[in-house]
Amino acid sequence: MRRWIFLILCCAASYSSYGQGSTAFVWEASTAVNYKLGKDWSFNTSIANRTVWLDNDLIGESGLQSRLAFAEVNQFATYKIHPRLKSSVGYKYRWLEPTGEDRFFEHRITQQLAMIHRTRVVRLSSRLRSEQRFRNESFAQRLRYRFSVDFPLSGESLDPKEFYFVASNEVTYEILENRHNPWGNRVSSGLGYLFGEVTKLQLSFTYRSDNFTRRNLNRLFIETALFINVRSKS
Amino acid sequence: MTRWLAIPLMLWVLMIPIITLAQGQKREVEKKIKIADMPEAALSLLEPYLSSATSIKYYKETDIGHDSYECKFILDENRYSIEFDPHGRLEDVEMLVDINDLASKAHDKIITHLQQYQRFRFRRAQLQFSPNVLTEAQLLVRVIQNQNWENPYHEIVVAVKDEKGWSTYEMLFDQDGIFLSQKKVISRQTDNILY
Repeated sequence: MRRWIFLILCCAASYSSYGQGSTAFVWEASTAVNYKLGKDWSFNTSIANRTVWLDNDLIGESGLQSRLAFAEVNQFATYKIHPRLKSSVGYKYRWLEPTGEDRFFEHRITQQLAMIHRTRVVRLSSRLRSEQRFRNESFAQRLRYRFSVDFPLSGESLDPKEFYFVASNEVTYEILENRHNPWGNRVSSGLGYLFGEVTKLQLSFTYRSDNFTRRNLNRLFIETALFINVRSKS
Repeated sequence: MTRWLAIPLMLWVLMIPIITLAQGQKREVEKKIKIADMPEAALSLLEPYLSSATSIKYYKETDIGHDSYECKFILDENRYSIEFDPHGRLEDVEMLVDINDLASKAHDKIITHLQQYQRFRFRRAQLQFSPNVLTEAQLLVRVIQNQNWENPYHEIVVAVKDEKGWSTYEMLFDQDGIFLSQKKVISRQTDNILY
């Protein structure tokens, strides 16, 4: 089963990145620390940035050009309602165009419910998010639903020094003031590696279709993420 | 621009000492292996059953001071897991079952044991058979061929909630449902699917 899911999603990812044309690709890098405090509470602190790479067709010059689109810090608090259901609240502060002359910022408040449907070898999970996004002079309410699948590539459990596969699809909907409300879709697949009991590195490719009901802006995201999971001694 | 790109890389490097210091807990490690890596004696014992089995997989388990080999397969719609020592001697046969299919006497005792916790949720139940008075081959004939599943031990994976919160345990009960032992199950981390 795992072999089929892997093959299908790899084909889907290569198909979606095919025919990018002059679309820029984007690199997002993040580092997150997850730690437990108290019996059913855990916290996640992360930093991330996004670099946009523009290709020749877009900028009319030779060679790739890059610019830093944002840098951000995130803080989440998560409560385990039961082993398969977790609720979280989060806050994000994002510096938009931090190298530019003008100062743009974004505050984002997040509420989410995450459910693991299947906990055996192939893990299936859902995440429902509601976000309130405040930018300098604008506000948006966002709704997101993500369905994920992940599984170890060697054996039935994910052990240190082993790879795992992860894929997801997320649908987004934005409610904007006095404007068209855009739909988006993000299909993603990638590989992760568990170094030890606490640390894993994940590389994934995400194909984002923003506002696909109107102008359909498609971009390929390369995402690298380092997860550090500090476990309590109990 | 370069300095902005360097930020995550620098942070990763800075995190390395934390990563190194945080490696402490030991646990059972299971690796998928090829049939050629299985002990020959184990394969001889399994031979009569594997020709009609499906989803056959082989694993090597490494625990502190104890290595073992495992063959998992599906036969007659039953999921079996057969464990051997490094010399190919059969250690036990396990069969996946629904928790509600356990014999009522054992089932009731297991429930009574779990009622000491605030809440509990079953994850998985297996019947476990060990050679004891039977030879290894006789045990396989009894469990797989004759489907005689009397007097098994019960291996239950269950999430329980106590004053410290939710934890998952693999618990072993005897044929009457008397609690024998337990070990904590380290669940797969969820941070990459939560955030």
